Amino acid sequence: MAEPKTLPGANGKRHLLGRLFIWTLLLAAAVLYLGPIYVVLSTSLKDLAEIRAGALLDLPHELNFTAWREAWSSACIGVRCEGLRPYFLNSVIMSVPSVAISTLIGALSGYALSLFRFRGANIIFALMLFGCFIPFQIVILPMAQTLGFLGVANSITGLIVVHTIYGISFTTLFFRNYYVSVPQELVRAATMDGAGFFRIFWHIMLPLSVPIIVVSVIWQFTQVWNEFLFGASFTSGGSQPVTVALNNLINSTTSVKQYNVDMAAALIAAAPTLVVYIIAGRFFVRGLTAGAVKG
Amino acid sequence: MATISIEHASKSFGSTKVLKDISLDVKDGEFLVLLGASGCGKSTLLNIIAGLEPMADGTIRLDGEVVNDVHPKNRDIAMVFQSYALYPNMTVERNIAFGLEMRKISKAERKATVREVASTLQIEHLLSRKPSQLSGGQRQRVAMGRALVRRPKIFLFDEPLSNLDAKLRGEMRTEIKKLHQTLKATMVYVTHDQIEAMTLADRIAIMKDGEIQQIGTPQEIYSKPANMYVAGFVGAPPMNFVEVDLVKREEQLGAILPAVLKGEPVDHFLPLPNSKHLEARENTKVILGLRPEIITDSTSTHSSAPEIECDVEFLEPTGADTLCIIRLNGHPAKARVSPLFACPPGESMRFTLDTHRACLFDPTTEQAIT
Repeated sequence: MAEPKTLPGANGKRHLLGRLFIWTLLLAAAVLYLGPIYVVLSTSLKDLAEIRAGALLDLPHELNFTAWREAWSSACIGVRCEGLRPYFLNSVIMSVPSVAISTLIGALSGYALSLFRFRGANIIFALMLFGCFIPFQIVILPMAQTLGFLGVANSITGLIVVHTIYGISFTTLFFRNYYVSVPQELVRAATMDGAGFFRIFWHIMLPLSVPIIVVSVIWQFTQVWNEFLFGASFTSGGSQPVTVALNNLINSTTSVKQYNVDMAAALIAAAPTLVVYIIAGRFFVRGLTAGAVKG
Repeated sequence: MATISIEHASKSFGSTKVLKDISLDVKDGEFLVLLGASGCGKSTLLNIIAGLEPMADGTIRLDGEVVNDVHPKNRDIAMVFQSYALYPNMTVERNIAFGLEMRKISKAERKATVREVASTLQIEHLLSRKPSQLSGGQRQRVAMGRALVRRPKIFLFDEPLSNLDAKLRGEMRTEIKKLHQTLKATMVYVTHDQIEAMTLADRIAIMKDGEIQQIGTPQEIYSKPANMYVAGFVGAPPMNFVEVDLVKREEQLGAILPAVLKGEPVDHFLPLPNSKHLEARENTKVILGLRPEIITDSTSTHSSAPEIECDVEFLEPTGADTLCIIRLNGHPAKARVSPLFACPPGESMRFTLDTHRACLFDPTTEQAIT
């Protein structure tokens, strides 16, 4: 391996200029992205008096978590003053099964489409890909009718159904493209060993799929957790997800605009996707290296 | 007991016919090698025996029983794959035991059988490793272990040694041969390597374009090739083909072999032994097939075989022998001589041609004249 530093001309003036340019660009991008997060975080830690007195970019005088507590358990959304907590739980109850089911179905169908090349597999795959390009708005009305027909309208179960169905296109795409690179001989060997479709899937394919499972989970969780339109359209009152509740909390403030509570609520609503990314992201890298089995 | 019998098997992928009406019998305990260049259909034929691919037409019998619609797992066949196809997530032990596990054999029994197979293959110390921690040769052994552990009646090998380096390939070849002798199981082995085919096989089936060109013992294939394809495919360096005129001189049928001596063209008359078959072809052209070892230096042989003297253009020393490139009927041909008697390039020397071992082919059909 050639060590970049020892290559001829690697330490010249032009190199330094190039580095400076790259660093400046990166710094600017970082400020651009982190600036709003800083404002939200610091505002959530101030009290209202401090917000009114100080400037937007001032650091909070002390770490004051009152606004966080209020946003979590006592802020009023409409007439209920229980904070975001019940809606946060709704979102958890909605996301976990949606993510799990759509990932499992995606893995199964991706496996069937790539390693059991039955007649018409490619056409079915192409049709499934359509699902990735259908905008939410188009399906709202037929989906509402379907949910009504199934008797799960205005419920978290209904949202689970919607998100699972919507996610299958994406998860199938992920898994199918991952399994295409798995050698066919592995399936043939397992067939000779006497394993059937599901046993091969369970004993051989799934253990190989850690990196793509993580990709699928991160993607699906982010999609489902952050989704607003379906939540706003198909649920109301107590079964709304946290995204809808956050919107209502900010819109339903009566007297004074409680910026600190709004900011804290926004951070609470955004936290899980961040946590999932941080935890799963580590496994993601680990999974990638573990999956790099030669031959 | 395990015999394989294939009758009129054919198969196509789209519009290309990969197998054309193949019929083949493998005897109990026989080691059959399917030999051919890539794309000749040999792997497809193996997959059909395994049951991994259906055939369009034909019958396949194992032990006389038609198994066209029998699932691979119920055929009592084990297969070793070119890429080894070890399960990357399982340890070596579980890899070997997987087939038993799927057949619901108890854990204790599984463990004992795996140990036994591992000791035969000398991989006991590897049992707790993952395939990614093994070298190519070790993976190969594990793949063999996975096949052995089930004690199937038929073993199939799909180019199992092609990913190994030359030295390991030689060692594993010996092991496979040893294994065949101890197990006395029926084995079908696919390869494109003629050395593997010659050393391992009881019989070789040479395939080309979905058809079997010849089936026979390695010796038959080598010394009595059925056609020019087989003759050219087997043997290294390959057989020399020279187009010659068949003529009769003083009641002796023979071939006129044009060579070059001291830069001048000379014609040699080669009397041919099996004259009866050739009478009808008098005064026509035939293709004379001469393996390099048939053309050898006159000094080290004491036979009454005909001799020719001709110029040597180049030398290719291989160690044990030296190959002399001479010119026969305008085309270069190789002669295998002892390094002691090889003349320097550019000079001429005398060669003995063992015409008893020469082959003759029809120039149009390319089939052997017998």
